[in-house]
Amino acid sequence: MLNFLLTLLAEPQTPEQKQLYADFEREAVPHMDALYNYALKMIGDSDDASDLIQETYLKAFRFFDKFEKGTNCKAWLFRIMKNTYINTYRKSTKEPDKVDYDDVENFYENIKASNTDSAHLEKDIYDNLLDDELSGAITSLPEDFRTVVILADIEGFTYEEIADFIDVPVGTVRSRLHRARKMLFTKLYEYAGDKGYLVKED
Amino acid sequence: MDIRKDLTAALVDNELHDEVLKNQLVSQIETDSDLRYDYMVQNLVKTLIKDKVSYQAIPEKVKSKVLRKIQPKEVRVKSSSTFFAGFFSRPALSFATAILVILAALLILINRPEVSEPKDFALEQLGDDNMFVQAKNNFRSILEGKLAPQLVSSDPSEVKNFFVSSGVKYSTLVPYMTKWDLLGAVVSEDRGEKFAHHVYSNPEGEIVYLFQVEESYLQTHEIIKLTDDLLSYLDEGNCYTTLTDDYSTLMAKSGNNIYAVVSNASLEDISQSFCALN
Repeated sequence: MLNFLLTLLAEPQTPEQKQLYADFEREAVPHMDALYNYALKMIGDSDDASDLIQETYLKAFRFFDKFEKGTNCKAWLFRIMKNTYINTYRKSTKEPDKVDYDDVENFYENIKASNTDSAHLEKDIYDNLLDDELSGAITSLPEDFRTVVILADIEGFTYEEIADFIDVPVGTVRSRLHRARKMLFTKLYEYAGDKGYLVKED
Repeated sequence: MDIRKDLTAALVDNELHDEVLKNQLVSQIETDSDLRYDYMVQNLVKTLIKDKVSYQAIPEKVKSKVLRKIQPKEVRVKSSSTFFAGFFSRPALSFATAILVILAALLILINRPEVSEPKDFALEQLGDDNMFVQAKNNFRSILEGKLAPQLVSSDPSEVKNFFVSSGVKYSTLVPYMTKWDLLGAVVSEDRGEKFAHHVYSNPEGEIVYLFQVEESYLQTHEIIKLTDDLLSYLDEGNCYTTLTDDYSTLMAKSGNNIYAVVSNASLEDISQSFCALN
């Protein structure tokens, strides 16, 4: 009788497992917003972003006993998400058309040459652009450039963290970010021109 | 000195840690219009992204869904079994004392006053794609003779096989009930997905209609839904009962399925029979 009752009352989860969950809840769950935001900006579809987060967290919890306590949990989660994204979503996500960077550079130089002052670099000119237009411009960047912009300018990662995340030297992060912002500028300049926010000089 | 242009990005990002290089870059920006232009572009784009691109927090329903999948059941239900486990491990407590404690606990549980529902979830269930609403509408159609069983059978295994052969993708629950006779079953289709329904009756002519759906359908909200708070309430092992439009309605969870029961029998009768199906 006692054995039967003890079986009924027994914990199906060991104290170690419960502790593991408590640690996971404290260390990993607070980063869910950051991961979702990144996933959404990378993929551009809320359902796919939600699925990616779910897969990432299930994997992270499964391997949480391997996570080295005291190290950067957010970076660890981002690495898991990156691998999941590469294995599953990148294959099915339509990659923006390849960008010929020389064309971008030429266009950038033309903008510079055709403006004798820096009025077109005033932030006020671009204030009427919508979040969607800016987000669309980011989404249209090639993946390598999109990644660094999102991580640096939206998620607030340091160059070193980004370098660790995408497995490239810090100098490459800097160079990609520099180019990515130039690409974005040419797109925003075009948007602003199309909407008549720019007063073109003759 | 020739300075790489991409250092302007690092300056904007406060990532230039070499003070000498940083000072050189700042002074060159003042004198070199090309470099200054680059710096202004980097600064402009970073500022625009910061000001204009909204930060999208994870939707609460997605977060809850993820947490539900990883939470140990004990955390969800907040069971008091740790207390009991520790209690029994203490050598000072004899076997007889332990038995007495358990019996006392059981008596308290059995005789505790009935706890009222925390809120009336029925008021929140709206829309044609809501499971609660669908169950009530379907039951009304059965009573009005508009919805007849596609299979007439009193054999639970035959009904289960009918669900499988008709394309229901999830495991179904068709229990044998002592007070209720199985009448038959219907499989409905919504956007290519098949759903299982079956009906019981008793000698008094009262009817019980049971509609079951695998919980994953409700979590995705794509074809059929329930409000998140009712779903969480059922997930915690509770049985929700309510009397609306003179019908008794009950919702509960068994295994991976959420089921709705609607009947013209009394709420007490259906609660006794259908709250804990397995």
